Amino acid sequence: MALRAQPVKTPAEEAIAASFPAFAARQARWGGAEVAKAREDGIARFRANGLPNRRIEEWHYTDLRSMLREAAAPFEAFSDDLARKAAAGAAPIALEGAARLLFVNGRYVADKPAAGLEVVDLTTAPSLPPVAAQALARDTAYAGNGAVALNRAFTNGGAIVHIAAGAPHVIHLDFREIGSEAFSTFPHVIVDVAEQAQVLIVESHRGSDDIAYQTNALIELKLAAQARVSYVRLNEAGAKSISLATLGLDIADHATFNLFSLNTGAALSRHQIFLHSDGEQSSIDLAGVTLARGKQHADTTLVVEHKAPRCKSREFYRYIVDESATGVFQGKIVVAPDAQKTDGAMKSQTILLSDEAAMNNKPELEIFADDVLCGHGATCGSLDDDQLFYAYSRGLPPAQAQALLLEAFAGEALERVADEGLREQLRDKVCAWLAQRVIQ
Amino acid sequence: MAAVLETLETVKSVDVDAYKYGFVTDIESDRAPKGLNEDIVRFISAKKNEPSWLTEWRLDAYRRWLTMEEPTWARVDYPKIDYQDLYYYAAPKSMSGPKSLDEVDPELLRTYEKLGIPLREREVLAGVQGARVAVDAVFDSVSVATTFREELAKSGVIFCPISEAVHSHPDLVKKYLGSVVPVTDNYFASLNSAVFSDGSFVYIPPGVRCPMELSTYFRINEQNTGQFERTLIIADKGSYVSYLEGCTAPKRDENQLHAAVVELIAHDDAEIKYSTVQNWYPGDSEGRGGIYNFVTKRGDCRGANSKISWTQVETGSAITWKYPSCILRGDNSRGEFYSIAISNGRQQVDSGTKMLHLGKNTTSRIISKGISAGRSSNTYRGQVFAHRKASGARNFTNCDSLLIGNACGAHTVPYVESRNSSAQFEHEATTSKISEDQLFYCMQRGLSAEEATALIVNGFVRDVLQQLPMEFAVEAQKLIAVSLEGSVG
Repeated sequence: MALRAQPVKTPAEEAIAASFPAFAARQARWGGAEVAKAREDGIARFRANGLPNRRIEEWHYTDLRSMLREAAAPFEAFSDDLARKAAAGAAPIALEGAARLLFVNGRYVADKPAAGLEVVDLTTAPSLPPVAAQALARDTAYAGNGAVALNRAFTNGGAIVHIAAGAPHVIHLDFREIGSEAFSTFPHVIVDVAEQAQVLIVESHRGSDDIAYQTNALIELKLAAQARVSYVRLNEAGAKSISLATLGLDIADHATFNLFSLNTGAALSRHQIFLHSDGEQSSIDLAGVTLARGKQHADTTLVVEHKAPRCKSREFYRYIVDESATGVFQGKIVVAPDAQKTDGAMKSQTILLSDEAAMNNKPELEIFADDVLCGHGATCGSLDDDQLFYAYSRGLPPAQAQALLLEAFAGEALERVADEGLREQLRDKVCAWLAQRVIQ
Repeated sequence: MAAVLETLETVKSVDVDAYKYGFVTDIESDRAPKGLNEDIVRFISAKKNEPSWLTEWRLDAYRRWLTMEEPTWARVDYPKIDYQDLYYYAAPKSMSGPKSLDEVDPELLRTYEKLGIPLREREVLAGVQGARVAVDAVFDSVSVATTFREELAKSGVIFCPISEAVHSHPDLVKKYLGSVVPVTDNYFASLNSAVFSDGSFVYIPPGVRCPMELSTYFRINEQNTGQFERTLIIADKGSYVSYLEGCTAPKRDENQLHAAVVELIAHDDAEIKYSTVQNWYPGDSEGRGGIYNFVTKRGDCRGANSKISWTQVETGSAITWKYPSCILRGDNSRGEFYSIAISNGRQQVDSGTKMLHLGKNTTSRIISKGISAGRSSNTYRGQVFAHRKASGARNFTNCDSLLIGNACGAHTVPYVESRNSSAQFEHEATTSKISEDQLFYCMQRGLSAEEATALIVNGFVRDVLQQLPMEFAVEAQKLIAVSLEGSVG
């Protein structure tokens, strides 16, 4: 139906717009001209478009305007006490010898600094060093995205990180949300990886199950030539939370980027990946497992843009959706006219475990070069009866048989994590989720 | 190999930019005043001598259309259409209602002869062996002739222009018109509902297998005229019908609008096979002229075990916006969509299908082959949906795109939405170019680059061509070769 409708501002939209001037004034003491400009741009976009809604194609399946009923105020009351309390919490994952960058309610807290790693806290300096200012002023194709615009308008913390070639091997971006009442956070982290640097970055999100907090993180990663980055993302956000996250990627020639994302947390989660491959012969591998149950809504939206010739990309996502949860996968491979010889393949596969569960799948190809090899596949179904029967006939009870098949299903995506220790920890998390399953 | 040789000969014989059907028939015509308002809607309704309920239905559609906005989500780009700068009704002056063929203006008959559509039954009988096709010929806004009506009537099949069916079978028209594509379905469907002029009406009674292929041939002739045809096909319980549709238009420098609505209804155990060979004028190589083709086609598998199959070969039109869909309402019903969409020059195609699984154990199959050449853009956009109650639903989708040249684009935008755990959906899509290896192999055997390409392309679309009725398949194969002309090398 193409009926003409005037967008009516929802209470949440009005509250967000109304809170901006005072918030920006209070935060004006840091970030300098660049942050101030980003705030103005962001709020202008928000005022023009409102919250992302189903009339905007890329938000068709995740209608924030109707899902975000109340906008929580951006978190501002930082204290050393709060930081200490957050740091004392259990680690989401064990990483040996890792440099840890802790973000508490959006604000960067120096934790375990390491040599070869330069970190500028966005909120300490009244004006930023030139390198950081330049990084902030970068023009990105996704600046118009609704979640990104909100993050830039309300940035309440963040850091600019430079990883040199000889930097530590493992870096942990540890995001934690604690508090006793609802709040929202808008961290902005920029990571520059130098030429030939090799690094494993782990991004984790964890927060209190008791409060309906809202996070909207923006992480921008720039890989210089021949850099090699493995990236593992862990979403274990609180059960009542809304977790929006955007990963912007800019990849130079001969660089390698491998991502694995395990998504189990938040009532409403959306992970956006905007990848821009600018140099020749880069290699990209994105994979993920999403496990959703209850009334969870889990969205992964990715756009892989091939701008240069002879690049390779693989996207491999698996979803297990139970009870009345909803899964969303939107993947788009764009091949520019000059990006000849691009080799792209995307696959998303889903198992629905209940008749109340829903899955929306939208794999897209947008191709302007003729000498390419691109394809995508998407499947959606339930557990295979023959496989179940085989397991039953070997004496496995239904719950165990199903768990076994589901573990194997998720396992194929997990295989893509190169670091064995990390992979096993992720597998344990998948098994723990499966063990909590209630089978009628 | 015979078919391939034929293809190659066709390729050779025609120049680039040669659109075979681009001539204009010089015939005096009766037109409504330019523009669109309630009076024009009433004028069209009065011309057709329609009952008051239909006039009201049109006016209601028109008023709703005024409140709607033109959709912009498709990947097509065209200058804003001035809906007041068009004629909404044009009919050859000599036509003042359905007549016997002897009374039809000989100029019109010559036009159809030139297009290769014989309207005289005697000639059909004499000329083609075995395959007889009943034709409804629609010229601008009116149907000029419908052949084999008496013979069809013997089996109880009703095949006539819809403007006539309104009078002869008002209850059927009233019951089914707008029941698949509601008046407010989309911008172009609403426009069509307000100003639709003619089209075919088909009713197949229970248990009847239609004794011959039915077809409609659409021709736009008049300048600055839009064509808004409406087709309604009803297959009652246990019946079968195969229907073909063809279309052409003269070469003109300005763009012309074509906004049609096709509604299919299949009751229990019925089957409808709908094939289209769309060859509207595509515009010249610089993108001047050509038809804007905004079409809403939808089939409703209303009964259990019913089946609707769409086959389309899209080679014409400057802009194509078309999504033949199936609503799989009846249990065990089946929907099929086979498509070849070819774009060359500056053509823009955004086409695909929707398979909405509502009943139990419903199945659907989508095979789409897109070929882009020149500076064209070709998009597949399709939706597969399983309702909570659609247990046992199955879908298989395969869309392949082939790119020829580096100035064109091929896009795939599928929406796969499942609400039922026992529904099983599979989707696959690929984009590639004609491989060097294949070309090399063919050329090594003595074929030229162009011949080799034609051979490979024919192989690429074979799955779909096989679904076309035989006499159309040969025609379609020629059409494919002509459309791709000038794109190799």
